[in-house]
Amino acid sequence: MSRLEAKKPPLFISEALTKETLSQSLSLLSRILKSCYGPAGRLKQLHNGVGGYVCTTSQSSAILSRLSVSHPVLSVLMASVQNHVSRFSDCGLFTGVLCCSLIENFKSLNVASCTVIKISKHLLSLCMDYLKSEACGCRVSVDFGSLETLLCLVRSVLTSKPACMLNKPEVDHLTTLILKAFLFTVPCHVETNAVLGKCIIVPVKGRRVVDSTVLPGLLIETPEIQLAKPLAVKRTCSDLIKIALFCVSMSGDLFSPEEGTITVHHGISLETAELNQLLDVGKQLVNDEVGLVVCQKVIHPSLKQYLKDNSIMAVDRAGLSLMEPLSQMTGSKPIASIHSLSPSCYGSLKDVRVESFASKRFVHLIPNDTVVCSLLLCNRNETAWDELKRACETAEHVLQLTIKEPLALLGGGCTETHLASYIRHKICNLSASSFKDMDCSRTQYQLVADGFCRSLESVACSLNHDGGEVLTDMVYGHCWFVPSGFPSVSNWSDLVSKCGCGINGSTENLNWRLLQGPLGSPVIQGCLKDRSVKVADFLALDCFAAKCSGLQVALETANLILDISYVIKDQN
Amino acid sequence: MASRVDVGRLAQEAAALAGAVRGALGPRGGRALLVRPTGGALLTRDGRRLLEALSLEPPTARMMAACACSHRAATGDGAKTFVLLLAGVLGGLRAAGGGGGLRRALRAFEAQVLERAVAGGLRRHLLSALPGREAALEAALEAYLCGRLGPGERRRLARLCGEYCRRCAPGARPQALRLLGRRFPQLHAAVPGLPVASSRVLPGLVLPRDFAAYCPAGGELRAVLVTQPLRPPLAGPGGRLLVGSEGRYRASLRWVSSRTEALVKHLQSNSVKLLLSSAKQEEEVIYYAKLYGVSVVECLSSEEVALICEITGVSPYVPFGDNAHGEIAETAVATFCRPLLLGSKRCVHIGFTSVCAFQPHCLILCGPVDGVNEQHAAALQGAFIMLQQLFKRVDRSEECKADGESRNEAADVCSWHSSATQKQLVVENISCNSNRVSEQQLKARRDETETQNAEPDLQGSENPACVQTNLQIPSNPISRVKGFNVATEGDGSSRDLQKPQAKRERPGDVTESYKSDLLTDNQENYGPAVSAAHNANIVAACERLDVGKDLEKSSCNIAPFKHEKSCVSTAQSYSSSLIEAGSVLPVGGYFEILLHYYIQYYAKQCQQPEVTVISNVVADALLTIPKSLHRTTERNSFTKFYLEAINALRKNQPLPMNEKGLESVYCKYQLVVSVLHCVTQLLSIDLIIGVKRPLQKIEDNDSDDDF
Repeated sequence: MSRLEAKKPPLFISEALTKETLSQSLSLLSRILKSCYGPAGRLKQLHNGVGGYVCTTSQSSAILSRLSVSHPVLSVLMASVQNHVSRFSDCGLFTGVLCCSLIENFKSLNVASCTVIKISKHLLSLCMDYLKSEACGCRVSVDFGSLETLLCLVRSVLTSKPACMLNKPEVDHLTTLILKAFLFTVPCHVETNAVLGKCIIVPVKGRRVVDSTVLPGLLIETPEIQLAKPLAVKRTCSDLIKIALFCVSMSGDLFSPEEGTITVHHGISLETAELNQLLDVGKQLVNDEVGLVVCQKVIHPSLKQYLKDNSIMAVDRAGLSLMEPLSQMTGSKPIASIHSLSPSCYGSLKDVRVESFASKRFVHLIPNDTVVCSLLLCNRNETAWDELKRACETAEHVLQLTIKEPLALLGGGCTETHLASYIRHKICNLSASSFKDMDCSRTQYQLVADGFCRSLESVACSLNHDGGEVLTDMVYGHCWFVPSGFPSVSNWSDLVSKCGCGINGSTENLNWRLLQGPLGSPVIQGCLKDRSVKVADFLALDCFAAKCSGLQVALETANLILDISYVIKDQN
Repeated sequence: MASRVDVGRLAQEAAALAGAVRGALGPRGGRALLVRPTGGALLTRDGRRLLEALSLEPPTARMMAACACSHRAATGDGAKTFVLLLAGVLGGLRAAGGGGGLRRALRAFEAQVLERAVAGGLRRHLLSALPGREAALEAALEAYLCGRLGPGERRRLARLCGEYCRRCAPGARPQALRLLGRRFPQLHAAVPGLPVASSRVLPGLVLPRDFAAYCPAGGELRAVLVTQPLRPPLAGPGGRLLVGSEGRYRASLRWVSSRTEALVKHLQSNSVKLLLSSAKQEEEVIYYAKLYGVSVVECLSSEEVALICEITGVSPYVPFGDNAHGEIAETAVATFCRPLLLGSKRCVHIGFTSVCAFQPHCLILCGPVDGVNEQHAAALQGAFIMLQQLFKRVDRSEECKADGESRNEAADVCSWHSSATQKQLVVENISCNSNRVSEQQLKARRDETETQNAEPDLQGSENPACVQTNLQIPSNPISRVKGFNVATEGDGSSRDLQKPQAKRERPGDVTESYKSDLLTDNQENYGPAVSAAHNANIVAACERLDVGKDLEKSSCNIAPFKHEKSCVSTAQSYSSSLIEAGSVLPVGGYFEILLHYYIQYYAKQCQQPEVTVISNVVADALLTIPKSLHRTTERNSFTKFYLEAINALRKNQPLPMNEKGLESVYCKYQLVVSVLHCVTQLLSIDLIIGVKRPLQKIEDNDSDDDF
């Protein structure tokens, strides 16, 4: 029996944002996210204190889904980052770090939140216009005709997940595999509505990463199949294998979910009737020269034997998740009736093989048109494999987003510093009428803009975990990292060799300045130079769509939180 | 347990409520984060949500919240303002000492001061939204959304909502606007995780589920709506299948299968390419649909089915009829039907061809978190309700008409309200003197003339008067007219009255029903003598009106019955309504300042000291709203605003208005009236009695069974 409890009155917290507890929890969350960010990010171990599974990770999706926060305002922030990750897979930490830092910076300003929101919205629109314009100096266009940029994109995703524990050859190997798998999923004959195929990740744990491989077609795990025997599969005249795909159970069990009753006379077995019907189906399959039968559910042993005797291969228990790629790959329509088989339901395959990887046996279906492929992903242990799988899925998603919008942004903190210097430069010559539109003064605008730029720069700074200096140059506005242990007065050009994204070398004097130095942030005189981007080999690139959306979502969420004036918490 | 209720306690409770909602008021107000018991967060600035979330304990405070919410439900706006104004009035009454005299004076205030202030003063300042309808619509929309959305996204959403309105309801037809307000939950889709800037308007409908079977089809296609499974059951519900042999069993299974196939084939032969089903269909149906190139969408909600029926004008197709081979008549036409990826969810996107004024479009709302999308959707739905109010008007009819109005509204939404107004009506009818009767008669007649005037307007479908008439249909005119007939039956002299009335009778004519209602009351209370005179009077008026529209003549006609006071008020403005349809004012407290000024102005002319006290209380309470609106700006901005406005009024200059947004004066006026009613009601309570048993609502329609 349920106990009746008196309803508690709701908790009314006014002035929620000025409370000390919020700034403490916010800065804690901010520190957690910042310390995870980037290729040199620190790993987090998540466990629940009573033993069991331990998750070692530095990815926002893994951390945020397991973290519980006490402050309701922070749960809004976390939900927003999680929603972003579920849409774009990438740039979750970027969004989280930027959002925290925007809130902290804006809160410390002595400007009404309403004004802050209007101004920051204007700043965001400046950024977005710039990012979408041709003149944007921090984006590169992706040419799908050459592999370099694509490889850079995938490599950046993999290297930014240090918990995968990959060394350089492993990164290179996986990068090519992921790209290969992606190219498999692009259909060869593009009509007006091209639909990308699917890459299915097959787990193989306990092997080296370099053992991973990608295969065209599908792998169905079948423990009982014998490896030794050569496969005798019937082929049609055009040397193809005809496949029938069933989504209805062929177990011969009776199931009647309908209402109403069925009365059966003594001595009549409906099971036999069902089985006879199944065998009839078998006969028709034989007549139609089908070579392979795949069933989502269970096939009756008698039918299986019958099919085997007629040299038809039968695979059952394929599972719901494989049905869609199977029908996409073979062109067959899943059959839901054992009473009528239409010849138009059948599909075709190029070949069927039996393969074995690390003590697992698979039936390998090889299609004519490879829009579906399988990535056999190996890693040493469970935790690292989970992390690697997430990284691979992210990379796959990033490639899909990039094919829709063939652009990429410079990584390694360069986009952030470049945008910050662009904004600082841009707001110098803003007309008075725009201030009037926003109902604010020039000073207020500059205060907010400064907070915005410092937040962007702090994201770039959080890539650095070793205590060295972070610089920006006054020509391109890129981000440069100085190794730790050098005094900050030395000649910068001796200490830096490459900028964060790797596009600029330190050959010319680029007039470096400390980012977030004590002297305040420098304002570039004259326009930022636009580097005619020649994609070098090891460039750090970020997904354009994910980062743009992350930037917008971070600002919108920060605005949302700044706008909260009170919290009503139902305590029941 | 019983506890006393006094003004002090009420004022205290109202002030606490006002404190809770004040932070979210106006364009500079902030959001509230509501945390549900499940941990889900909802962001809102909606007064109704806030009041509900507070889950109040004291019954009187709950009543205040309920009144505010019912006002909000009827007009789509103003729950927070309601609470603030209520707190102001109650606070003022407490300062004035409370007492029964003041309570009675509230009624008199409404009749003698408030209506005059509106008619004599406020009316001059009103702007009309009728010319440039769509522009005004957008200005009202933006102002409305300013009060419910954060400063970052309001402009964008107002523009989007304006575009949505334009595309869905070209020409802002009230019929289409109403459908929009009613069906908005089905007409929008929310995508969390994307920036608000990605929100957009799509043509057609979006059903938030994937195709069960999708067969690409180009060009225009026909769709069929079904509500039952297409596969015939082996043994029907309650039926019994007798299996005599294995062969028979297999044959019957085969029959079921072939029957399903035949049905789908029949759809295909009628060139139906899309099957919309509210029931879950069997795998077999999906399989055959795929074979025959019919796309299937299943598990539609009943609201979605209703919406599709409304837009396309079709009714669900019944497959097991006799016409299994005939043509399917009930097909909807869609220009396209394709999958749509919203966020990471696959949806169905169908472009139905509409048969009504409403052009189906879907609003895709994007926001970083679900809570924001919910806030936006709620705000937009409220906006559509508000837009419908924009073209309503308030008729001049002092007590009776006001009661009638609020009763009509109350019938829809507000149980508190309705009981209160009905009670008042009864009290009034008993305590009325004969002067009052004639006054009411006069009003009734005037209302009638007004309807007459409005008649030519009613014909034009574009005319705003339509809004009013249509919206008041729920008051059930027929039954009331019936009641009237019964009442007059014993009264020979009034027989002839029925004729002109019947002539002008039409469904939805509210004034008529109201009048007959009034007649019934009068006859019951005062007997044949008065009513005979009364009826004769109306007949005379009707005759006059049938001939022409000369109102002055008709008012002279009944001069003997007239009371002095009502004569004055008729002379002031006899020809038009109190607030014209489509009247608007700029936002930002102008309505309150104006009303404040004119209430004080007319209160000076009032002889009764208690009414003067009330007038001052209400006038001061009205100022709390602009005060709260100016709360977060720099200091003294309210004083500045106030002095500027009042000086301009004293010098008879136009007000210095620099706000672009507009608000409906109808809503604002209704708000003041509702607050006054709520105060009256609260003050009438003297004791709160706690009972152990749950209170059961008395169902009104129980008695219907007796007929």
